[in-house]
Amino acid sequence: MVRDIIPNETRREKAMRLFLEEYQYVEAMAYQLAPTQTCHGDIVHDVFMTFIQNNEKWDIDREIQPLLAGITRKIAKRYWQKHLQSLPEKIQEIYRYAFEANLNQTSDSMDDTPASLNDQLTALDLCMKKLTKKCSTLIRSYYLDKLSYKEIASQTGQKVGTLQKTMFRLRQALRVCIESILKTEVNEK
Amino acid sequence: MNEDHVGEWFEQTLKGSITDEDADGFLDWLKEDPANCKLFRDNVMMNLLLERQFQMRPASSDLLARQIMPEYEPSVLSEQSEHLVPLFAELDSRCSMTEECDEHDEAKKTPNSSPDIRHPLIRAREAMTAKVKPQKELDLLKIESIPENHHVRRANKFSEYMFGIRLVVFFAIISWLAWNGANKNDRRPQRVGELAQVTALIDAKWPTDCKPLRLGQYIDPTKISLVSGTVKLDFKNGATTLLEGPVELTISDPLHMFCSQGRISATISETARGFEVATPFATFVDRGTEFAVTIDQKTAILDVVKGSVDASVGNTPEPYQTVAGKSFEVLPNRTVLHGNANPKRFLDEKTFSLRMTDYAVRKKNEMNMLNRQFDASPGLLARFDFSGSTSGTIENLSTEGRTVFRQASIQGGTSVPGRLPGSSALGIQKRRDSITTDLKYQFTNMTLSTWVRIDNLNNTGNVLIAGNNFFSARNEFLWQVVQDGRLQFQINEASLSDGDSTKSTRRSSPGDGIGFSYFESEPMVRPGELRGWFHLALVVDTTQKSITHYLDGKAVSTHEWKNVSPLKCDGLTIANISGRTTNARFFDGALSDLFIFDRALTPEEIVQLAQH
Repeated sequence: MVRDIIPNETRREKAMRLFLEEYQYVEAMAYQLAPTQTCHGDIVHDVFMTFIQNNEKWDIDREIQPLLAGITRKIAKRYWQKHLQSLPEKIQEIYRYAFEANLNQTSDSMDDTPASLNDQLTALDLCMKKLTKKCSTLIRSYYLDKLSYKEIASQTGQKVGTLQKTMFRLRQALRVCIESILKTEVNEK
Repeated sequence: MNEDHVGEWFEQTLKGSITDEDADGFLDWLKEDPANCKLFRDNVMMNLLLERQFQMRPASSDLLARQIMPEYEPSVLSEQSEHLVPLFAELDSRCSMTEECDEHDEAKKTPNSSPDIRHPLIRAREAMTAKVKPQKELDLLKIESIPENHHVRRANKFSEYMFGIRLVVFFAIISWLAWNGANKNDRRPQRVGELAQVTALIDAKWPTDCKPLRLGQYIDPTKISLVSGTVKLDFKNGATTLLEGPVELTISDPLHMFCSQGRISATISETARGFEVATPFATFVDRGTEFAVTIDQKTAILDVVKGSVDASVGNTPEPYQTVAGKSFEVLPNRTVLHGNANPKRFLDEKTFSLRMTDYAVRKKNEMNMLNRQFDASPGLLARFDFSGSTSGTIENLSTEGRTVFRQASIQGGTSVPGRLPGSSALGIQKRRDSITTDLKYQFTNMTLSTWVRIDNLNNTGNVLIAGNNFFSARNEFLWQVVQDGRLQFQINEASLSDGDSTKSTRRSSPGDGIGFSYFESEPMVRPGELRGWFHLALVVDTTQKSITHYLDGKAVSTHEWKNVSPLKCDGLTIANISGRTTNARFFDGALSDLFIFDRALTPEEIVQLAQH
């Protein structure tokens, strides 16, 4: 990637500019590794602060994505530890098992560069348009209207367990749909 | 393993309500197959994504949700969306301290007519400066008498030559004075931006009745009222000051400021030695240093970080000298207290840098959310942030717009610092710099929005966007800022192809369907604000038959467009329309975050674009 040279730019300014150029990458990584939605923004923020404060330690003239990936993973781990502390031990175990491999992944072993959060959200818009009315009502009731499964069950006459199972599969289906859209877009590019 | 339970277990795990027995079952299921772990992670991530998807939707934007879920009733949505987090709800009540400020206050019509807030030292200095002026005028009278002496020695050719030069010099000086005088009558600054530049703004809020100081703007002697936030001023003489709101400050010249309230941190270079901060209680004069002054109604405190500072209190014959690491406090009764410098009391460079980085990230995040919001809304034809490479082609960042045209090509241009910390923008300074697109389109309605930094108004027009065939084809358009700072939108309502060539050059009244229709605001971009960042927008609403100019999110002029017909373009050029006229019509400054919509945005949406 050719980076334009801005005259009289200090090292710190350059570090800020380079980070902001990679912002979407860090944001996407943070989203993949964050334990909660609110954490995601905090992780990006912490990565930025760490990168700017310590920019002199690193060679920022080279490709900085691996460096940022490392910092993001380290900070995400910290957030996971903090998050898990507030949960029962059994749940901690579940999360640790499911996410440990992800957090310990090195940049070399990562499959792909994560798609930017914006792209993922745009793809999600498209996928949601494809949902059946029943599915979109479930999503809307749960995420937009903030109804509980119990409330939705009483409205629709379905069992709570059935709704939870449907939601689990629905999320998976949306994930697959998003991935296929993003893949198509990458191939087009 | 009973997979039917997985969905329930997952929901219970998310809620933290899973029983130990079920947790063991869930864990066993995860361990069964690595793919199960991925399924779990995907669900966690999708849950976050869906939460974000619905949380970030602004309360006012029913349109978005309707687009995603058409069966959703708008009225229901409005009720439901009340609990959603509005993205960009608050309108900045910012303001500045340029000429417009003074128009709201009769007592401040000229800088000299507000002596009540000025320190006696400053007034004395101004009086001294005023005495110098008549002396200069006398010198000029002496020059005026020179030609008479030269008549006596007419035979001397050298003297004649000298006489000629002096005559030219004399007329040049007289012309300069006349021009200068005229400018004074207009109450325009003689030369703008001779004093300092605004190099950083962090969450700055200004009094509502004034225009804001803009990032990058150069300022002249002025009064600054900052409600909250932080402003960095870099003086041309090498002094740097950080102002932390609330601040009431008058800068009279490069070495003197009077502050009645607020916190100022100053780093003074060799060239600015003697920099003075006057307060109601004491006057602090730099002796090569870094220091901070905190002023409120009861006290003025000086903290010296490096070097030393002299403090004059009342009529004390000798100033008090305060050295690095020490503080000096003056109470209203002139009591003087000495102590140690307290870093918590003022903003140092390091803390300021951290605030800047924090601000940069917040703004970037807000920008991303805004971009996503507009990407998802219908009618966005093009979005360019101009933050990347400045050569070759740039991608149209609008998802929907990419189906119409994918990219634009940049000719010339340079990467320059952008309007947000750490960001970059596209600098355009040359006649041949431009961005061209092959967008062939017919607009029913239209909204154009961009951030601009205008460096000068000398060109016939600082062109923002123009149809490639604006001069020759009917219904093509041109959006520009003209020499006197007016925002102007032109529509070619009669072309050469109509068979009447006189029409094509005729300036018509807006919207009468003959010649070029002009829809322009009053002068909005003032010379004192050049090199600062503005947000400009234009909305063409054919249903309302109106064309509205916006500056910084506020509608500044609305015009009736009588002869409504679809606007069109056979290719669009950004920042240039030269080559078709003898006068230069190219943009001189920098561009960032350009949006082109084929719908009329609401005032609320324009505010959103202007706030970020």
